[in-house]
Amino acid sequence: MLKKEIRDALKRFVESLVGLFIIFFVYIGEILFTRIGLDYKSLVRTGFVITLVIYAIYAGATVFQSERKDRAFEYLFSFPLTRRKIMTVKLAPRLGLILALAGAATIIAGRGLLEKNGIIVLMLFFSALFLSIGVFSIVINLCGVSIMYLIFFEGQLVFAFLLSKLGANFKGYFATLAPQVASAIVLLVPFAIAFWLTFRRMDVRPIKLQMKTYYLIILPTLMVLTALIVVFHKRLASGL
Amino acid sequence: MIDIANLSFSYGKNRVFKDFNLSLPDGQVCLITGINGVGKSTLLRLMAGVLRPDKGTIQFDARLGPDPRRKIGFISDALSLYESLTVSEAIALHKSVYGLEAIDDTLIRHTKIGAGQKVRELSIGQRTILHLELVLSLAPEVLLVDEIIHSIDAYLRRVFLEQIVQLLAKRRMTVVMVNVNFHDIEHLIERVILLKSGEIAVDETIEDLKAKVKKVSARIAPDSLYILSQIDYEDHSDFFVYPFHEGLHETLQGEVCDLNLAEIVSAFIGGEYA
Amino acid sequence: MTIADLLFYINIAMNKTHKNIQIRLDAKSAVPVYEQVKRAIKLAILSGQIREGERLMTLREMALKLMVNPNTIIKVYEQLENEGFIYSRPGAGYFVRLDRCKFGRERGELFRELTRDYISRALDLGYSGEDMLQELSRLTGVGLSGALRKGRSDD
Repeated sequence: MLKKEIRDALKRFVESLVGLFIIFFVYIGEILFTRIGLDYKSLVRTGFVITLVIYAIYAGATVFQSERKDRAFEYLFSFPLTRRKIMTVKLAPRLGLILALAGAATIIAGRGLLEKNGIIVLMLFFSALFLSIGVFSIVINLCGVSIMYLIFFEGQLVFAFLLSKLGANFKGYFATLAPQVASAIVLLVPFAIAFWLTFRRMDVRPIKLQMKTYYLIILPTLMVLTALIVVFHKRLASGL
Repeated sequence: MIDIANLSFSYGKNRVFKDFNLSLPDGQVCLITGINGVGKSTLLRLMAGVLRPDKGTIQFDARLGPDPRRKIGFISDALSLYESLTVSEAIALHKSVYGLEAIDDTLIRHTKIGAGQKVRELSIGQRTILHLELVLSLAPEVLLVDEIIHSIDAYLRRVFLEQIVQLLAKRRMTVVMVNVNFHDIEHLIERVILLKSGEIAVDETIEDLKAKVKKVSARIAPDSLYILSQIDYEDHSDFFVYPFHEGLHETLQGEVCDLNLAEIVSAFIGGEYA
Repeated sequence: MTIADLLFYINIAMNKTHKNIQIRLDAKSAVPVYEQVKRAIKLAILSGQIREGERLMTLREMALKLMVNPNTIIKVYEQLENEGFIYSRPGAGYFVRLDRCKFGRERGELFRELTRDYISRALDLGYSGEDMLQELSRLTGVGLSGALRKGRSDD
């Protein structure tokens, strides 16, 4: 029994390391928000945005929450529904809600903010994000998902930064949005592929046995992203 | 009909089935049994489409449609349902997924299941009956029942089996039951399949099985007959022999006794543990 | 539709209750279920428990009562029909048919089987033919001498 307790104690410690990531996130966020310039209106908008962000993360992480809690995977997979149909039915309301809220946020933000900060893009990116991470929620808890989201979020900023450095020139109304859209799409690809390849073949075997494909694609992706974040961190902060 | 061909399946490193074959004709009532962990529930889950085979196919009659799960009623030993839903929500969900007009809820009301009760609050017996009613509302062509019959009280057990008999009387339905207890279902079964290490060790009709497996009580083992297992007493032993045939009555020393299904299966399994 | 048919259907309408027979199935027996059910119904018919023209339980009810696969009952009823014990009227059910000769023959065979069984069991216990006759005479009240003479001449 002691062995098990030691293992448990170490597990909880690793989980609590999320605190470090929160600090990192707050640091980056601090820089972002200082740039924008906070006032009362901005605070409201920021609050709205943060709620949206949290919801997008939470909606993604809890895609299979009811099946997990209710031990209903077997029941779900016995339905005469293809995997694609299942995902569509699960994602549509969540995505729809996020997009609707994003639309509302954009209206509240006003045209100026739209151009400058691409809130819609942010929302789209989060929608895409939660879409591809859903399956992760089956395997680990909210904590692990949060870590992954944070890495993704930072990574998206890095990519946008890199794109602009590479001299990618975007013209027109959506000039500021374009790099963020592009980076979101680029990052979406490995996540979406990893998720779909895994979920397509999923059945009620213990989840851990079925995650090989997912880890094979996601872990390298996360490592690359983290590396990029670490490397470009300073330049990111100053370049913004 | 159900056609399982070259089925291979593993749980991680544990290889459960390799090149497994089984064919069940339409309307047959089949029992799958064996020791715990041999793969009975796994086989049922594979048939239900809830587990996907690594290799091989499981095919159903064309009239089940492109997705046979629409006409397969599966009751797992976990009685998997969305537990946080109330009974009426669970029924509504089931109706919408399968495109049903209505669900016969006479039994549900009979077992005092409240429409507002959460599924997780129901007793196992009530939950079993609820699950059964949901599943039977599909008018399934194939009914797969994993060992839950003997976890419920004797009255509900009878109610459960009555439902199945009623349906069998009305229409052709292939029934596959996984059980380790037989006494209530013995007269329903037509075919007995015993699994051993991922393979079919015995596959006979129940009549043939009862004719071929006998208990011979004697001092010494009867030769020329395969002994599945034996129980030793002070001055004699009970030998469970297979395959027996009528002609042997004269030549055998010792008393020959007929067996019920539990004794027969026990004889086969007992040999495995020896 | 003849008058006989009319009377027949009136009879059914008035007499909804169909005869029920108590059947105990022996799971330990290697005699197949269908055979056990068949014998029980035959016995009920031959012993007059169900009379000519009376209706048997429906397939469904019989299956439910015995917790037996309905296919088995179908088999039983079909075989009984083939052997001439019952006949089916579509929409109405299965009814007992009385074929005098067959009835007598089958009944006689059953009686002989019963007697053979009694004799072998009594012999197993160590009783002789004389003992048996004595006992039968005592229990049935039928005189012994006539029976003995007949027996001797048959030897």
